[in-house]
Amino acid sequence: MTPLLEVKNLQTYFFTRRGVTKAVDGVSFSLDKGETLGLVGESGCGKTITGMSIMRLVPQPAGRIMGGQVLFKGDDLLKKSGKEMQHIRGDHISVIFQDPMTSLNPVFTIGDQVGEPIHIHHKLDRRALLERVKEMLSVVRIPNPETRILGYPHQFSGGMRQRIVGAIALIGEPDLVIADEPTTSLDVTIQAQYLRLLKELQARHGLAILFITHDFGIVAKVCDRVAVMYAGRLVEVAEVRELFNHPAHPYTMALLRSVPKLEEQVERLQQIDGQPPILRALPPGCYFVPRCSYAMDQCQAEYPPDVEISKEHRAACWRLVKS
Amino acid sequence: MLAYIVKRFFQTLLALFILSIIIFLLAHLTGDPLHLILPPYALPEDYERVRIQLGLDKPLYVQYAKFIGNAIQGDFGVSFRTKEPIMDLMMERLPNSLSLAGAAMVVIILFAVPLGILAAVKKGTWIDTLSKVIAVLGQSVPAFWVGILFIEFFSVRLRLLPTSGMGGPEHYILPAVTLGLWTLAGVMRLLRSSMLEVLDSDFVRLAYSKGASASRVIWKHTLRNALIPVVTFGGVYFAVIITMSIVVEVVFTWPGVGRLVYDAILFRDYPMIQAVVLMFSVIVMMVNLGVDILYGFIDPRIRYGK
Amino acid sequence: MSVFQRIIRFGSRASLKKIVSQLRELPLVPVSVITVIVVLAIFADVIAPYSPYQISLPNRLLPPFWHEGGNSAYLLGTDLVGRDILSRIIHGTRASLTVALLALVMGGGIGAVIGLISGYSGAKTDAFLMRAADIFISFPVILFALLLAVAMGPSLTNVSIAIGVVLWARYARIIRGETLSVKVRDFVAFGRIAGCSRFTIIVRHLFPNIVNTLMVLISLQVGWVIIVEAVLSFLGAGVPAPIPAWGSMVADGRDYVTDAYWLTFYPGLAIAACVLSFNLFGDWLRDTLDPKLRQV
Repeated sequence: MTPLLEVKNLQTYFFTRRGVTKAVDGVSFSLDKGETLGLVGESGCGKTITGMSIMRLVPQPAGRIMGGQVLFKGDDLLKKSGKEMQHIRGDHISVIFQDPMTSLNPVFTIGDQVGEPIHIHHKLDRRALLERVKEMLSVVRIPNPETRILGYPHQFSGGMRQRIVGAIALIGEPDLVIADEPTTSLDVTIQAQYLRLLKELQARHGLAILFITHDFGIVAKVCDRVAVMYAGRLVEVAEVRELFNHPAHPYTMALLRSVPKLEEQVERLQQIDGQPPILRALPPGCYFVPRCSYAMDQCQAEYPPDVEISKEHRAACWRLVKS
Repeated sequence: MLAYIVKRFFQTLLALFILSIIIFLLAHLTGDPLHLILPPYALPEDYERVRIQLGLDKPLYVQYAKFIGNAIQGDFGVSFRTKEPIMDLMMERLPNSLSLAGAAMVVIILFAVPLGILAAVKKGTWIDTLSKVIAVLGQSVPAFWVGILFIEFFSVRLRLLPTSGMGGPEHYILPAVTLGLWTLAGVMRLLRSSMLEVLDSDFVRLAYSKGASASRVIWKHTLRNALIPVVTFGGVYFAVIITMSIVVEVVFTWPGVGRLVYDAILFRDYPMIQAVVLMFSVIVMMVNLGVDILYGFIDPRIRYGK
Repeated sequence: MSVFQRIIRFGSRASLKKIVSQLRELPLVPVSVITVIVVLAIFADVIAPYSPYQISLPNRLLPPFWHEGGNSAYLLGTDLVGRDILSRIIHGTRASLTVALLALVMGGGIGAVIGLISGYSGAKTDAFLMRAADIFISFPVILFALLLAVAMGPSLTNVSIAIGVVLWARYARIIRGETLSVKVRDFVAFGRIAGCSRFTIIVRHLFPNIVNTLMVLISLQVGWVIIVEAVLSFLGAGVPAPIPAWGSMVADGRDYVTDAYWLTFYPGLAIAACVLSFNLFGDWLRDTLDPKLRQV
């Protein structure tokens, strides 16, 4: 069965006066129907740009997709025209952004904004459209949809706004949802509710979700598989349980170590020393070398290849090549 | 919303009150107000006579009450120069000034809005550069100079347009463009930067992610938001247009209130200038109030509050 | 740290090297023109070929030297009574710059003080001061200046006062906003804990942090003030004749445009060049120091 989404060697660079930033440099992964793939990494590692590249919404003119393939249901999205992409966005692939405060247009009603994906792609008469919107609002558990349809974004709390954004993303019944840190701006108590809602909707509609986050706790709760990103490249991809139990890449190991577990007594939280590299001036070897406790000479000389550790588990590290 | 309107209304009332006091006091602060009213050759007996006649021997607050009482009834006294009632003179010419101001606003909306939008959308291209040049020049050149040059070039040399005076549409073109130039430049710049700011926001990206076309995003999502700051400045722009109309009316010999002021300056006709300044200020403040109310309607955050 | 903050902080000990290195980023053309204008204003007596008041009836209405009938002794021609246009334009820089300086120092000074006080004081004082500012902001500057000029008689100082008195409100509003955001910063709290008086906090802690905004505001308005002065002079309510002012020169030459364009054209050009340079400089200063003010 061909995967729903296959990203092959995606490269997205940014061209500014100060140089070229290789935000996404050779990223490959796949996503099946109904599956949730977590895309994890520190801020600035390129995970958001990866999501934007799939949608062909990279900020221009500075950003440009330089190469690779994004196969969605077998079709390469990177070869599609602007108009064709418009058909796909909102209807087959949709997005949830991080900040509910800024994701909604302040001057239009939420009824208008939630109904827009349908309005753009299908010809429904006003009444049918309103019914769909109300239905969607109750699915995301907004109370009193009939009245709230006429409300404006500023009249809703952050948690409710994020649900509205979810309604917008799902009303077109897409195959793939790219969720870019959807719960980062929410209160911890609301986060759990929201994640539960997402999972329910996923089960109901058979959605594939690309879940972008920096929080391993959420990854554990929500994702089936995980891809770890560092400085524009994927350093490890595995099933969730496998990653947590047998992390192969030193970066993944360091990340997992820095998440305190409830049962352990820790003296101090473990941080990863150092900073991620500047994307404009990347070294020839492995990017993680300055912060890696296992670095060898070979690591500095050449970037490590992807090594298949087991069927669904791969990582880019010279240590693994030996064994 | 209603609370907002009421509040702004009373603020305006208070401002008008204080404004009238300041205008009233001005004549007194700068010396004997009679110097401004009586001709230089007047004798001390004339001063005494007029002082009592105009009630200037009474305490200030009484004078002010009379001043404001008269003003509300439309009695601004008599022009020192022509001896005609000021109110009549003003009312005769006010429609002319307002129609010129209106024409200027039309010019502004017609040119500044499309150019501002285009400059933002086509950022970095020649259209953007052109609009930046127009904007910078438009805010740098003095209206009276431009007006004079326009007349010389279009009316005298090319004989395309009339040189002066009020009349049919062709009479409006040059004065309206001259009057609106500065504001046009300002609106264009503001709209452009406002559009760019909105285009950068999350909800615009979300709109694209819904599959909206570029034109839909620009016209529906961006413009509505981008116009808000422009409308907010509407009051300021109107004030500039009204005040600059004095100069433009002089240059184009337009029979409006501005010409009255000009003659008043020449002849040191203080009551005239005082009355016009008061009236213009009232108009400007009323327009400001209107703009604020309009703004309340446009921005749902104000209209529906929390 | 900007040039202004550096000077405030270090006074005469401010590192010249650091200031010079910042100066390298200046926009060349506007700054050159401004420098020329300032130099002309200061050294007008020496630079201008003639006195701006020198009448020479035999030489009246001469065109600029490159036209037929022109005289290279009077480069830009002469006016109705034979005064040299070029010299009058050069001397005109004084009127414009003096008014701009006085008005902006007055308006900016009062505005900054009131803005600081308003931002730092309690709600009542703040509300009162800002209410007052709103009233003054809605007062059209030119109209008020006209009134004042006619009441007090036209003169350079009167024009400056008229403009400055109305200008303060605009500054007060923005500086107050800045003060509000600065006063919640930690170092202000520390100052209070350390027992600094209100005055000290305002002068030593708040002021250096708003000075950038103040400078940007002032530079953005220089062009505007020059135009206002020109308009007032054009209408006869500004700098009185025979003192050379660009606005009144344009007014004088108005009726002769067809036959003697230079009477009006060159003074107006001077205004435009001057205002343009100040506007461009102000824009650059704003982009460098305080891009938040983009909508001003």
